[in-house]
Amino acid sequence: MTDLLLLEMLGLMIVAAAAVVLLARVLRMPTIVAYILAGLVLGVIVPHIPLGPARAADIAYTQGINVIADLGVALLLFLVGLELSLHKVRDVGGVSLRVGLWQTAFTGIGGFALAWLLGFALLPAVLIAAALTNSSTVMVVKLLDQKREMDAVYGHIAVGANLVKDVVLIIVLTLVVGLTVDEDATAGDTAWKLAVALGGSALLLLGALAASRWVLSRPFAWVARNGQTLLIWALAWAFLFAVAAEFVGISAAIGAFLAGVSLAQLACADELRRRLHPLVSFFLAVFFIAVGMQMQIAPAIAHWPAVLALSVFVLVGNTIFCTWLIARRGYGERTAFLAGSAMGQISELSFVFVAVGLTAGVLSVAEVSVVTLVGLITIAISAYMILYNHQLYGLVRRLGLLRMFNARQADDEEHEPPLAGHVVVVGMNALGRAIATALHERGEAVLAIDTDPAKLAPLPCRRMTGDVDQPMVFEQARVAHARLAVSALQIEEVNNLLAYRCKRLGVPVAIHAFDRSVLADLRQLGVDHMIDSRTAGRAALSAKLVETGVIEP
Amino acid sequence: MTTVMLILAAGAIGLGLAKALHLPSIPLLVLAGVGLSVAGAVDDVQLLQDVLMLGLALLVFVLGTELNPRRVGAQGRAAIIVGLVQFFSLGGIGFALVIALGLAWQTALYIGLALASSSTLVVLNLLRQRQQFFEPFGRLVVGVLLLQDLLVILAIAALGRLDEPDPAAIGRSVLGLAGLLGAAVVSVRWVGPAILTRLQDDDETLLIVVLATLFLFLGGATFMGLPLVAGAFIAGVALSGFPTHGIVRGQLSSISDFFVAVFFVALGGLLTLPRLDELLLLASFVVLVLFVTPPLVAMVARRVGLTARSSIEGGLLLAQCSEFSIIVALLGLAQGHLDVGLVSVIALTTVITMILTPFTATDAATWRIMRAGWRRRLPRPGVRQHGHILMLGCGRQGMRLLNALLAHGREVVVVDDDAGIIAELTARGVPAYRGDGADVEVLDALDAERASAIVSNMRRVRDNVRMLEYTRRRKADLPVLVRVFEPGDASQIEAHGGTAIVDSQAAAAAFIAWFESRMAGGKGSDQPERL
Repeated sequence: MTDLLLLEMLGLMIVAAAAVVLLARVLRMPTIVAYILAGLVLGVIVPHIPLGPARAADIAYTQGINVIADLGVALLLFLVGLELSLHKVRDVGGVSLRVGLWQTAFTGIGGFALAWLLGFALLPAVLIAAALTNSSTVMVVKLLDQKREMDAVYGHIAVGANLVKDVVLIIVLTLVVGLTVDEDATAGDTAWKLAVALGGSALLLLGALAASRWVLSRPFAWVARNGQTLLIWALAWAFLFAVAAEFVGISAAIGAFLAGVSLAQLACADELRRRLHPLVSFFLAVFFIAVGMQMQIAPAIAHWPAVLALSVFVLVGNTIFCTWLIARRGYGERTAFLAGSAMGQISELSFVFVAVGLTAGVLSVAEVSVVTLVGLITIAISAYMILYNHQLYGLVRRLGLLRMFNARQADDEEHEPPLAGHVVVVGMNALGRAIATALHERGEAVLAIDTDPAKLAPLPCRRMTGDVDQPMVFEQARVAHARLAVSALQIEEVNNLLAYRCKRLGVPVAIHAFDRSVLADLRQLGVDHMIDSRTAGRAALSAKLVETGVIEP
Repeated sequence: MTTVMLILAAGAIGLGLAKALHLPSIPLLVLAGVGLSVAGAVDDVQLLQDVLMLGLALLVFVLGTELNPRRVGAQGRAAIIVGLVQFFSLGGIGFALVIALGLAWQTALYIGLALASSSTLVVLNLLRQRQQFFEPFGRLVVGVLLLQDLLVILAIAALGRLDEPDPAAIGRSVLGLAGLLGAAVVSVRWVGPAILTRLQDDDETLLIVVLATLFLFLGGATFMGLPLVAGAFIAGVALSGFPTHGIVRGQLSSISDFFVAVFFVALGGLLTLPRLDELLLLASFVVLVLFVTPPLVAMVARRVGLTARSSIEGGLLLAQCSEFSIIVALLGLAQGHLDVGLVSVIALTTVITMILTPFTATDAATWRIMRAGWRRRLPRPGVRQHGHILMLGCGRQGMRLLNALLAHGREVVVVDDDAGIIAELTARGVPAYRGDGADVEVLDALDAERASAIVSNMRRVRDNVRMLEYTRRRKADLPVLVRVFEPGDASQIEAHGGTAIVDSQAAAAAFIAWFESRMAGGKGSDQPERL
């Protein structure tokens, strides 16, 4: 308990992030940009604060923070994997592969030409171009998730293409390290490494699919009820793959992604995603702040024309090229544009790439700094573009700029009519089951919620597994649009919170008042109806006493 | 990454075993960690310690947010007395034991504190599983735990200053503690409701702000020279109000699930296997906690007005060490007053007593102790009853039914465990006896077999089955009406020859009646109207 360095650093990062994020809310700024800004600020001030001046540059802190940041990226990719059921992969796999490969070629060649024209030497121009090819999977996923559009077709295409580009860059990185940094390595060594990486990936993929088909479903169904066990089991599985991936020389994140895919086919995937969510948010915040802290942008200021030209190329060039490519594959205009506009940024992996270039002595500090600044600019602007992409689409469409793609006008998204006017019944004990069944028989649209899938299974109405304490469950149940929410639970805190949230939304609510002591709070919360099972039971008892002739009517 | 994977894998195994064996998860997580260290699998000690610190802060933080004095209800006074007696007696005995062994008084203080309190996490979990939060002994136990957690935090804050004879520094700590508590009160009252309720639709920002609150308090505590644990706990208290706590809980649950699991595994990873002399110490601590706590708590609880059965149940439920014991031990290690061996002894005492709790705190054990002469002899009514209605469990809410029965001119005999109810009924001239309806001797004394009917409001199905087994033996055709909640319980009652009234079905019917009346009121437009 002596070394508080990690906690101190983490505390500083989180407090700074909270301050910037609260400010950012006013400007409707994406949280990613806020985190990076907080990181930039911290990067400047940390060396000057008294908490740990000499230790700020200490390896211990960077190590701890980097572990957290790495975990964040791995967890995020795990979350992405969890989204991918096999039929989704089948749907968008082909187009993602094509878009990923073609865009890498386009940005690589175009970026090289541009960099060369801007006066960079041949080899640096090649590396800068390679760095520009990658887009940030982490950021795109994060924003889509924030917009609750992970499920949209355009999102799948964009994320899929980005994963393809990640793999390409990792291969290039292995080559560059093999050829430039590691001087002892022969071409044979590098080729062997590549072969191991590719073979290993294939093996991991097969392992994931086989496990998902034959091994995982029973044990995970067994723990589905217990939130903590479910979470830890899933994480253990994810990190098993992450470590295996590192072992064969590909990134841990890709391993975690495959683990996610293998769990995505299970019934508990939804619940798992919701549970994982806050954890990912926390780790990723640390990740982006760390990225901000490590950015060196001052030397790039002198090269502002190059920065500007490359940024515009990434932002606009990628968007146009990908929109065109996706439209040509037969997707509708909206999908093509939304996916295309999600490609206009470079990624944290690009920073790693140029850092390797620096170590190898191929790139100068100024050149690295140019790429970093391009990254900062494109990530910030692109984040706004993704966050407001539907508005942007409307604007571009009105201006007539999309006519050149000659795309189909139809919409690719399947819109189910959203649930509304339904009755949400929480807690499938005897009371909940009886109420849900009775309402269903009366022709009401009933959504039954419980944490235990087994308790939901026999019900004839709509069902949802989850914990209503979690805001996402509340949201996905569309309680805001329900005509009534009912809780049969015998858990005071959960009932009170549900009542509070419903009243805040103006939704009528009936709560199981299972003990005299809970009445006062519920009354104060303005609950519309108390289900008083005890009193009802006593009334039934009196009736029974009459019926059995113990007392006269 | 490998270390993280190993910790998680051990955690997964621990939790899986806990589920398969129906045991509390904390001890098995610690044991899984011990397994890791025995296998020599983890070499990154720095990471292990970092993880431990983070987990510790989050664990104590979450415990702080759970602090809710309203759960204690009417048992507040009893809880304070029982809690204080248990805390100081067990702590005192532990202290004396260690002193007698010739160890330093500082060491004895740490060990005494570690033995003094019971586990909030384990007991609340058991109460939740058994749905006994609202029974009198449930409230008592919750109150005791709450009080003890507060005492431990205060003691930890004081222990941190043990080696500092400088009164100014101690004064600063006291001031710091007061300052942090003040900040917590401000936060509960104003900041929490103002900021957090506004952020509740934006989960990510909410989460970051909640964590920032934790770190601000941690920073404050460090600055004031207080132990980190105190800062984390007070930060939790700062977010414990309603609805703040609920909103925070939804966001924080998986983060705390993760770090708490990792914390206990990492902790296990740092332990060593005890030597022979330490083993003896371990055995005596376990015996102390297991065999002194229950009679002590039961006796005091009895004194302050609980029934024999509630007192015994409370005592059995509190017979384990707290998760705070481990934290106290770690603190002692950091301050140099405990060595790793003693920390292991405390941690293992905690692990063993926690594992045993679900086996010792059972209905069967309670009855065995009851039968061994723990209850008072029931005063046999002067007149032998005949043709009466025996009402087992009445409560405040049962009065209406009782009045109806009396109005019909029926003779009613009431058995209840609430002293207030008994006094009230006796004053009205209704024969009423304090005791347990599941107790065969009570049933005997009140001539159950000669009653015209038995009406049971007892909550637990097991109690009712016990009672039915008795009455069926004595008089097979005696009408026995039992209220239950789940239809599954109803079939159990019917199988034993009782007539079950299913509360949930009655309540659902009442609800549907309400629903339809609101529907009828809302008709008139073709839009489906909100109720």
